[in-house]
Amino acid sequence: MIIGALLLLFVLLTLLAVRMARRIQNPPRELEPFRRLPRQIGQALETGQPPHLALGSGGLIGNEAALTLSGGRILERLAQDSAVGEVFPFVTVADPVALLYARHVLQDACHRQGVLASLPPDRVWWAGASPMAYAAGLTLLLGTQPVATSIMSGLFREEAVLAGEIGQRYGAHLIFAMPEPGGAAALWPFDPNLAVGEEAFAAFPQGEIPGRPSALLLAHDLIRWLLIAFLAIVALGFALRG
Amino acid sequence: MFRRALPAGLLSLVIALALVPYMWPQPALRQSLTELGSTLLAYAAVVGFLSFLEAHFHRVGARAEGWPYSLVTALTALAFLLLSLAEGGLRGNGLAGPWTGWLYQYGLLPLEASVGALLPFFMVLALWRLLRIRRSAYVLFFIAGVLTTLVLHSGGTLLPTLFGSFYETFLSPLATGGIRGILIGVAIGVVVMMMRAFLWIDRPLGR
Repeated sequence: MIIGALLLLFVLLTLLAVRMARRIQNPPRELEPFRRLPRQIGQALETGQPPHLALGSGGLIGNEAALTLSGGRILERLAQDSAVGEVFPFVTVADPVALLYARHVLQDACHRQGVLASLPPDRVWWAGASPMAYAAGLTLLLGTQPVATSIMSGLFREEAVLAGEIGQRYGAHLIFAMPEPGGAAALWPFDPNLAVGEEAFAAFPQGEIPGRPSALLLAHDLIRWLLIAFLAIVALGFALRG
Repeated sequence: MFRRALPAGLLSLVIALALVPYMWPQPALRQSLTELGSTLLAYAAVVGFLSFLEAHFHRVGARAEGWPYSLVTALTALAFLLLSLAEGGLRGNGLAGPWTGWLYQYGLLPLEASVGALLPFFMVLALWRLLRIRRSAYVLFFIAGVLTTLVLHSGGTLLPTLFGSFYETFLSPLATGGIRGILIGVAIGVVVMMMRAFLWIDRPLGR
């Protein structure tokens, strides 16, 4: 019940923050990984080398679903842009439901561009079923298949350092969006500007109305400040009562 | 219109159903959702395995770079599946048995442990590379990273005894506070994402 009440509070704060964020005219802080994303997709299209997206070891059933979907937002963007130039991305997953989801997103984008027939079946890889096997599978893909950019977003822990290392070794441009602190810590030495925590959820798919991503980031920040104020007031209340 | 609204509506319904047990504890609903998730996972595992084989055999057929790896991977997976089916069929208890258990225990787990043992070296190497690029600013991070790696990954040696108290006193409180802050941020991100999917602002199942 306590979790339910907190969840309700969070939802109310979200609605309040989204409403407030739309009225604020200030530009939000810029997230370096997502700023680089369109340029890297363009470079992949120009060179003909596919980009790679690792959706992490999480699935879509269970607590880690939102972390996987944070990478899913990048996948939507990647699939739509890549389908235009018919340079289809490689997507690696560790969960069968995430595999079906990734295939659906790729096929949907190709269907809309009318290039579904030319989508090779090896673009979505089930790289491994456990986190460590998945990291090893990623190294296999990046070692045998030249990619222009390697994007990692989703549930990663310390094993992510292997994929970062192999990506750097083969000269791929690395972009990281890590909600999980373990994965962020492991990949921080490769790119200190990576998106961490709630920043990883701020990627926006192609076709979204301009300005919305700003509202999204501002909403995150506003909720954070509202939550800090709430915690401070509760702590002060307990301190005064005690 | 209906075709586009149906997936988004279904997603909103599932989000609402998943939230109900948190507000109003209903063991039957929670059980039904768990069973639904398990059934979906089982179906996805079968389709995923076929997709996995298709992807690797496609690479073998196209003689793509690294195709021998794909061949070995696909054949190993097929052999493991056949073994599991044979064991399950003979013993009548699903896909598990002593042979597959033996392969897990003496094949897969040691391999994973070996890969895991490499992680501290790669972490220190990555920190060293960063230190070479930005010498002044990251010295402290490098030292903290190396100390943490030594303390956490050098069981059976004197290193945890030498650096353990320093780690517990100075590094651990900073790391714990930082992790909690990030996790609160993740919770915010998850709730905002859920609300956007619920209100059809985001449509992860397609537009």
